[in-house]
Amino acid sequence: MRELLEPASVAVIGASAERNKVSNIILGNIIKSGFLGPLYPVNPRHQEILGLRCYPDILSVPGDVEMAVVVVPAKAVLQVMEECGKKGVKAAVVISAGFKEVGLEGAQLEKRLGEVAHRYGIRVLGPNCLGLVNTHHHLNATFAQEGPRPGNIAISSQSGAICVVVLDWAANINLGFSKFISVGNKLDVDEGHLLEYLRNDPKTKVIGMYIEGTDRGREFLRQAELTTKVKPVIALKAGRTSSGAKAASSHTGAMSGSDQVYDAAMKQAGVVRVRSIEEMFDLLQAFSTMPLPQGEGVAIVTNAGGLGVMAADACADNGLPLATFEPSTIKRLKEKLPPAASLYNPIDVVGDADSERYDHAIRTVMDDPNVACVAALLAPTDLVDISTVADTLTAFAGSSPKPIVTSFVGGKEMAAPIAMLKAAGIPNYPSPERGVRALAAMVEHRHSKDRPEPRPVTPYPVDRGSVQEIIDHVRSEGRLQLSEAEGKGILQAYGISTPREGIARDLRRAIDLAETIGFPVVMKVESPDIAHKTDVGGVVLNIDSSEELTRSYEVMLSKVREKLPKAKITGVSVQKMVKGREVIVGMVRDDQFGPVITFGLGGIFVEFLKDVTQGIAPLDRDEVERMVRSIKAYPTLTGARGRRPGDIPALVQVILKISQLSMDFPELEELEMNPVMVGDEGTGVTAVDALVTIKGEQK
Amino acid sequence: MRSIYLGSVVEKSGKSMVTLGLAKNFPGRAGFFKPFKERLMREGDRVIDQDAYLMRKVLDLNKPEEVLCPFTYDIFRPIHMDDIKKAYRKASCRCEIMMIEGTREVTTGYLNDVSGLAIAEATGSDLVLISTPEPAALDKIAMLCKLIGNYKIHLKGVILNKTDDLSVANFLEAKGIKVLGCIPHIPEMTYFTVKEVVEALSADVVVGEGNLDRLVEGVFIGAMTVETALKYMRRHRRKAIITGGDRSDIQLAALSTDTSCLILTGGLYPANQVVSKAFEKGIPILVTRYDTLAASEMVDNLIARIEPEHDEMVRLVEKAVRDNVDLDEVFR
Repeated sequence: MRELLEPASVAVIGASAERNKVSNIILGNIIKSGFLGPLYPVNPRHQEILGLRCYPDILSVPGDVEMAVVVVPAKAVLQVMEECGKKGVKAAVVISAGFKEVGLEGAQLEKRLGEVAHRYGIRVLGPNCLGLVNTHHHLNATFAQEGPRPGNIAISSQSGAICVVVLDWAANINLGFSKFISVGNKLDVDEGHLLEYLRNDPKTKVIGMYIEGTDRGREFLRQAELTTKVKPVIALKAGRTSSGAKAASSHTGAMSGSDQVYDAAMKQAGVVRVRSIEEMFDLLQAFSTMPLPQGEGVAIVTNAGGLGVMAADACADNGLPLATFEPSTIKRLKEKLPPAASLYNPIDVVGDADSERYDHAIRTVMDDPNVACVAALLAPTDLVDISTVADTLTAFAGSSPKPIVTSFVGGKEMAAPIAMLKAAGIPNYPSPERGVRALAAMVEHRHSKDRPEPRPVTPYPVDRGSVQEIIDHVRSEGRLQLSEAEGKGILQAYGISTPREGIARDLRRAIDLAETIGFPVVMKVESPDIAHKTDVGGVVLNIDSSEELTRSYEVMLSKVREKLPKAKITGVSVQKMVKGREVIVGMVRDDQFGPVITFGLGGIFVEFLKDVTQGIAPLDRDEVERMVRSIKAYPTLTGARGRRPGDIPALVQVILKISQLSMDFPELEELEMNPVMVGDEGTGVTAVDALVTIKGEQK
Repeated sequence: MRSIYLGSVVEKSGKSMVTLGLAKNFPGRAGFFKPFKERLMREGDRVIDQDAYLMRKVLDLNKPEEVLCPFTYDIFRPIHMDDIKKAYRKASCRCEIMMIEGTREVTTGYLNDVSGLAIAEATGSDLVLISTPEPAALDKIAMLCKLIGNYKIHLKGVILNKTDDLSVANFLEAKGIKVLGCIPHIPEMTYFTVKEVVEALSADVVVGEGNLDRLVEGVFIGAMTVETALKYMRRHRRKAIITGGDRSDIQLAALSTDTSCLILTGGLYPANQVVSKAFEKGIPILVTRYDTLAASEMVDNLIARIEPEHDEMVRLVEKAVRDNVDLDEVFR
């Protein structure tokens, strides 16, 4: 990666002498950025380009070449790469398009390109990318019109267009960059590699990423987890909705995956997720210019009550508490603020506030130990001298011990003062909500940075042999889906309890069974052809007598036969009716992130309420406890409204065991326990149903 | 020379498979005759019956398929029984037993007096009925047993196919109906290859030309959200997914699970990136002009074809019949 991002020497292969050609612009940009090492244009048709001696091929270049920028037509890339390999080039930025993104031929070409690069050990950025910038290394190897100015923000983008947009926008709001990387088709270098590099890059303070899809999700997750312990990572993941995902899929060929899984992965890795470019910029500004908060209390200083109220709402929306001031703070505020001022948070310095009042209020709250960050708001009242206030606030740039954001709200009157703030490095936002959101992101990152190291999970003693036997048996029959009994066999092998039950071939045996197990019971139809028993009337709950069982039996079978006349019915299962609070626990092996554990409210409304949360295995106890607490229905588990609390420790254990199971057996593709009954405290939890699928072979 | 007429009680009972299995297990030389063509195939300029092609190869018969299976059944332009008898004599070879395979159901042709029952009588053949075990078929077996009294034929019994549930057999026996065997479902029999799908849908192969011999074990339509589709796709192996050319999301989801091929309908070609992904994974993508409904019906109607070259499948069928049918009783 060093050779790619900080090369000692660079060749531009396919450099053109014609102005406005991509290759010419790139060469020009490298020259303009003041690259200090040797720079070699390569093109057999020219002697000299932009004042530099041009070589017919890379092998004719006299000195060593660490990095090559490849801008030849796709068909010629293979040969160029072959020559690069012979020359000993360490890294290549392949700008050329015409690969995977154009279909079959391109995909074949890209595969061969990967093989050549791999053979020579060349790191490849792209193909089909915009290039890269390393401002501190004086290297702008992109064909973007505007080169970014130096700063501490690193950006990576999967979309070339977004790169251009970011560069242009950044120039407008005075943001500086350390690195700027367009990853293109990600043949080799992807976000995982970049995080690893940028984490250790002293010039980078904050990392922003635009992602459409990932192929190595698990590695991304691992690198992101390590990186957010060091510096903030802000990610804009497009394709959140099904429409967006559809658009992204045909654009990048990456299955954008379930958005909830991305959300869970990012949360777990401590990545701050944003939903728009605007939000990305808002946060980058704050992280780039301000120190991290040490706590989470917000102090709001405003000259207009309305803005203060909006900011307070925004704090609540973002889960940020308003700081409660120490009495000494209030006393100090009182000394210089007029009687009409509100001294409690939000502090209203009143419409006629001058710069001195703002300065006093801000400095006072910053000294308060309960305040972690400050939002200074200003409305253009007739009596305020906006420019003087702005000028005073610029003093907080660079030196402030606690982060401060401003929101000078307005239009015409605000343009000059805002420009003053931005030039000084004070992040200003056009609305209080956006300013508060930036503070919330900083607090969020503070928490992820300080999160404890995951506690090592002691594996539960389990019977792996039995699970393997079940899986092997299912596989030998050419099935992917396990029967309920097989699924429960797996759960039992992992010490997860299931209700007493048995299978009966006819009514008489069903009654015998129910009497042995003890009423009340649940009766379900048994058939290898029926996956969703409830949907066809194949489940009857709470049967309390043999008479009731007889009636239910007849009705159930007739309903099932009517709906699925061709299904083979082998009998019924009779199960002890278990009482408790219904939750679901499941696992799905995601293509990109591996086993994703789901936990949520169970019962018949689960589809609509979607009160579920997800985590990527392996999970530790803290993460599982966080998951359990995070659902909205959590109070029903703790014993809301005088009910006895549920057995949460046993529930946590079940989720941890599923996490362990998913790591132990990569061949398990999906597992759903719906419902899991959480009994009263100390009475345990029981998995009533189990749906398990194993992986197919053609993957 | 003895002969056995194999009649199907219901459609898709697996009569071709049972005929093949019985013929292969016959201890002497067996011949084959099938009055009416069913599923056709092209062999050069000829259009011939697939079963005739299979049996000619497997039994090493020296008569062309047109002789082994000469007629096309058209209810409004009936074939006369005398012609059938003549054709039967022509198809007969120097062998110890003739296997006569019926058309669709044993009652087909009843209106024109050329039903399976009539042909069995006219050719002096013993009758073996082949059926699946569902209740409607059982009723029909009972009805046929009564009907047979009107003909001068000997019913050897019934072979139940695609079941290992002996209770149905016992039930029939208790009613006085002879059951010659219960052949369990052979999953491999319902599989077909991607190549067969290509032919059935006259589809273009966009990518994955080299993998058309992959087996398809099931077909699914991807028309829902990706999350829902993924659920189904994870649970089934070696499947074909039918979806629209514009559903890149479903297509990529399918490519991430155990999928044998993608069938894109409406003549819409996939996005380049999807093609690239399929190339990486080696999964064929087919594009057909048919809409999703039509395509799925056509694929549904694909009955797994036993290729004579497919030794393993032929052996599988032979063994299933040997292990589960009372051959002595059938051939006595």
